[in-house]
Amino acid sequence: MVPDPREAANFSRPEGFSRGDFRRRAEEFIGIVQGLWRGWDADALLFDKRGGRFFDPKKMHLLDHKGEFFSVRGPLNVARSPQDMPALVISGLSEPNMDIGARVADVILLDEPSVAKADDLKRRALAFERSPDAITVLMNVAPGAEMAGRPGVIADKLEESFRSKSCDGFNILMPPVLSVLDDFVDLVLPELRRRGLVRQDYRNATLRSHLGLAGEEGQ
Amino acid sequence: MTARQMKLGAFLWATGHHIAAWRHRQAHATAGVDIDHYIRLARTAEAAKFDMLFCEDAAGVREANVNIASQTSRSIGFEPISLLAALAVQTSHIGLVSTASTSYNEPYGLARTFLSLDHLSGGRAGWNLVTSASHIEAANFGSTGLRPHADRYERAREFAAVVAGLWRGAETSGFNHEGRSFSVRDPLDLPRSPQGAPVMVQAGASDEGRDLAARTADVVFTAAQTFEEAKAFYDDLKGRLAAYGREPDDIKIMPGVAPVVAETEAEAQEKYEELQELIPDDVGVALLSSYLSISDLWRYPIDGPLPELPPSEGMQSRQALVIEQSRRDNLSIRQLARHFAGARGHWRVVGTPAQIADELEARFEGGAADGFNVMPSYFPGELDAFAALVVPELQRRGLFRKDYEGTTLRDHLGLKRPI
Repeated sequence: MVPDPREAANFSRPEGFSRGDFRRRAEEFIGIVQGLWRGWDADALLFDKRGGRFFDPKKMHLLDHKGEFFSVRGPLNVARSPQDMPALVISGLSEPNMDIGARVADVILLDEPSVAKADDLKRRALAFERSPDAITVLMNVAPGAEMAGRPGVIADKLEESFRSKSCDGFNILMPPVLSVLDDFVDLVLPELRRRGLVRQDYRNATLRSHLGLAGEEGQ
Repeated sequence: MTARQMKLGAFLWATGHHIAAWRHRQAHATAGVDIDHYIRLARTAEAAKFDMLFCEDAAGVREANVNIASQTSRSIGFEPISLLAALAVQTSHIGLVSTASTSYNEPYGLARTFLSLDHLSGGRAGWNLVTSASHIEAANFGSTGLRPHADRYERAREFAAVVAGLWRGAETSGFNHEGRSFSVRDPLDLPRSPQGAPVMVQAGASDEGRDLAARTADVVFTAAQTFEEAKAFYDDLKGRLAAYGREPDDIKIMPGVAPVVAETEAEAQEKYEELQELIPDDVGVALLSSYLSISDLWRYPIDGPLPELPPSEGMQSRQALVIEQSRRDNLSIRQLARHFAGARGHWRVVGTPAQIADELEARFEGGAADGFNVMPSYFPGELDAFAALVVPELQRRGLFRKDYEGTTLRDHLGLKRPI
């Protein structure tokens, strides 16, 4: 959710976007994407060879969106997601974009531990008639090279942030060094598991299920 | 030196190329939601030493009439570039070619996606450039409707040039293209392709389409019913290359072929007729209507002849082809609909492995094709049959490789690495 003029210049927009346009366009864009993801009901496909009916026409929905920036008839030519809808993750939320995040995001990534910000997001979600649990707030953390010597210290820091309710979990920023991932998996994760803070095993096979988001049963 | 051998593509589409494929008792109707099905097809094609998997695409449900659409399997499937990325890690040699539109993408994004597929597959990616001629797709990308043919091709020419430049210049700093439709400042954030550049495929048969192919394509996919049509197209396109400083062998021309193969001719014919019987009349007539660019064909008696039609504003060459065939063979609307619904106007060959090999050999040796894009009528059965019956016959005749010559798609196709 942060405009980057360098990227715009590679996509035939050397002038970039104004802040206001950028925000309204992003909001309209997200609405269309989520609308397209709902274009086919989960039970739309019949595969009825004998009757000659591949799908139930009543369970396919046109989007017919006409907005400020986009016009999209839909539907997609891809079936409904096995997890109902792909998870929508947003990062880099500035203050004016908090409402957009609270209204549409499944996962929000924060750079700083902030109980106030996490609370604020959940309050805003309620205002949009979403359950506070509908949003998973993850904090970006770089584990650092000292991990091997002090896995307990890293686990303490993560536990403190988690218990203080400044986030629901963490997005571990892995440097492109395999040993750092190995150290996290071999040293820190077992400690977090011992404390009962991280799952022992996957409950299900979808991302929504891992994150505890609604929709994983495909309803 | 080994003799010239034909190139073969395995054209994957939905449950099969026959419009009623999904209803066949041996067809895998759930193909569009089943990645394991595609992994199996890819491994079959690779074991048979096909040059490439070829996926077509459209950015939207193709059929506007939902009742007709709901009787075919073509409204649902995987987006092909993400499908090919999944297949790349399940295979080691076979080429991976996907269709993508110059009308509904930006060159920087698409160049990056294909170069990325190329790297993660070890140099096996190809892009089939289309300009997208459908109103239904246009309605998903704004309110201005389908752009005129000439505008689409002008955009496509610039698009192709920018993509080729980005692929060539992947290691240079600064790119700076400023053109009529696009501007791009930076090079891609990827190193040069393992095969020099992904393979560029094209399918447009119009004069502008042929010129664009002569200028930029490595492979041309085409539809040709008869030997004469195929030969005329082949000679025309190869003849255009010199103007762009290219040699005839720099482009491989691969017409589509829709084979129905069985051990005996009677079995093959029976198999074909079984499929034809599965075409619902309204689906066949709707498809025929789209080829004729008219909307009210259903008003005429289905067992009667084709009515007199005004000239088409859309696909003129296709309309002429249909009308000519209806008059020549004295076909009713139903017969004509079934005839075209089966192979979408592509060349269909029904017969034994030897008969099909004879037909392919005649076009290959007769200078009408460098290879073929094989369009199995239903999956997996008809790809299995082609791989098990026709490929060994072609190999026995020395017309097709017994093993891959190299590891990249350019190696298989015998294409030069771009400088």
